[in-house]
Amino acid sequence: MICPACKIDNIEGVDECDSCGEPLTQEVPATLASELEDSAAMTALSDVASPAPVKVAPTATVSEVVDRLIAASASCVLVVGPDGCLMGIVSERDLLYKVADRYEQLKSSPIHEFMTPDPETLKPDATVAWALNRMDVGGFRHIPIVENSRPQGVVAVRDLLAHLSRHYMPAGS
Amino acid sequence: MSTSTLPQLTPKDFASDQDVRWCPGCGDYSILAQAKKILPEVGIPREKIVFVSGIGCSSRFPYYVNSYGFHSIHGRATAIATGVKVANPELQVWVVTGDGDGLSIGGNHLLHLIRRNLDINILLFNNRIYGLTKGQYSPTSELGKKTKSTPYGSVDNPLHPLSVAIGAEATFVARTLDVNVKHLSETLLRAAKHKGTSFVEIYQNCNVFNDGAWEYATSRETKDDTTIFLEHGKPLIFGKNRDKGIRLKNMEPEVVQLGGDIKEDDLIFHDEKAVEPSLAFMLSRMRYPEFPEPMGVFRSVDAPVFEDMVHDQMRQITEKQGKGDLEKLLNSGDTWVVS
Repeated sequence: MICPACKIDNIEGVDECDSCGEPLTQEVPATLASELEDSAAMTALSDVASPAPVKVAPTATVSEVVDRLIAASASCVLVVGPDGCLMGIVSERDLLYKVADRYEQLKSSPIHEFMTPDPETLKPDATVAWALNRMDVGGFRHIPIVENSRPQGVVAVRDLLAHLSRHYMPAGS
Repeated sequence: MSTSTLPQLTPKDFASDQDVRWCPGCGDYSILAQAKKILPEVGIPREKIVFVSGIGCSSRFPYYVNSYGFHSIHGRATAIATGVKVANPELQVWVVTGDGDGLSIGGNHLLHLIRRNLDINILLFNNRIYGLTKGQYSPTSELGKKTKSTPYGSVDNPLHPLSVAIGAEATFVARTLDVNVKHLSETLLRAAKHKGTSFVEIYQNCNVFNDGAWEYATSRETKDDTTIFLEHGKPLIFGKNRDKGIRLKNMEPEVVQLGGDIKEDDLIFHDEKAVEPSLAFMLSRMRYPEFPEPMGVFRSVDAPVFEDMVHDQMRQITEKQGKGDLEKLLNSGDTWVVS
């Protein structure tokens, strides 16, 4: 059952919240946090992120990556090594700043030369609120979701916006 | 003749009618719940309890406890609490502060409360970030920390709250964690019962602006190897299999593997009653990842408390010189009229 105070999910039937110790056997006043706040602080990225990110090998060429992005209507690709571990990320911004004006010259170059290596990552159970904070602090729009160094997905600012807009209720509505 | 007894209070009696305004999932809920749980055990009536706070997420605490409270000004909870306690020593006074409020804005006032040894309980919620203002680095943020105010990483050496408290010779110093509710409540209860300044650092997760700051110390997979629970008179042993310990080598602590030549008797035995604070200070400097981080009571010693000494002095002087006259005092010495 969900603790009405801290919102942590507890095993059914326990007397008090395993996380905050709030009694669960009596009526506890509901928190006044809005649905938007609740959904941002408690929704895991695994519920909002794209579970099938575009993955490429570090040796893939720039033109192959561009083709994959267009085909998948994606805005980034994850660069994954032969061991399945995440090596880097290539976003539209990487291509715009590092490749765009020299595309013909660089289209056969390996993508690892243009990727952002070792990007900041989050675990699948990280929350929407935490991802928003990291994007805000880091100034980026995509965060790979990683478990044991293996990419499980990617969350884009667009995913977060879509999630929040579904839970946004203007005051008085 | 009938004797009246005080009604036995319950945690519910300490719940206020205010709606709690922390983020869902915040570690502060746990600390609030455990405080409400131990207050009836302390056995002091609600009207003799005061919670004083400064500014920050943690400082909303007094609203949520059904006692007297003072949501005061930034960093000055310790100064105000000093005044409250000296004016009325019968009150049990708690200060609730955070790493920013207590160690940055209020760092100076904190030191003076501690060194004076007022009988006040200080709870420092350490989440290593300014949460209320949406994620700037705090005095306890680690080197290299990227936040909104340190976009290229912090170059400030962090403060370690317990080292600060022990440096000021706090008479009761402890550390606990928001997610270990049993240890948290035991620690709060001990702090409440200590006569003198109790300083408790609580590792608290800010799940929105610094999520996972203490994950190494709280995760089921790692906590046995990254934390060590102090017990008075017991050797410093830790690890999933309780097969590692801390011993002194050339006046420095070192992690050793138990077994073979190394026995429990070779380890440091914790002595929270040691008058000399060096052992406690050394423990406060044991930090992850080089060492497991100690949890529990580092120091618990007896010493005269400030408010008793102030009132004793006032009594003695009054006996000798009679009761003072404030009006007379204000008009004594050099006075002048501003026209």
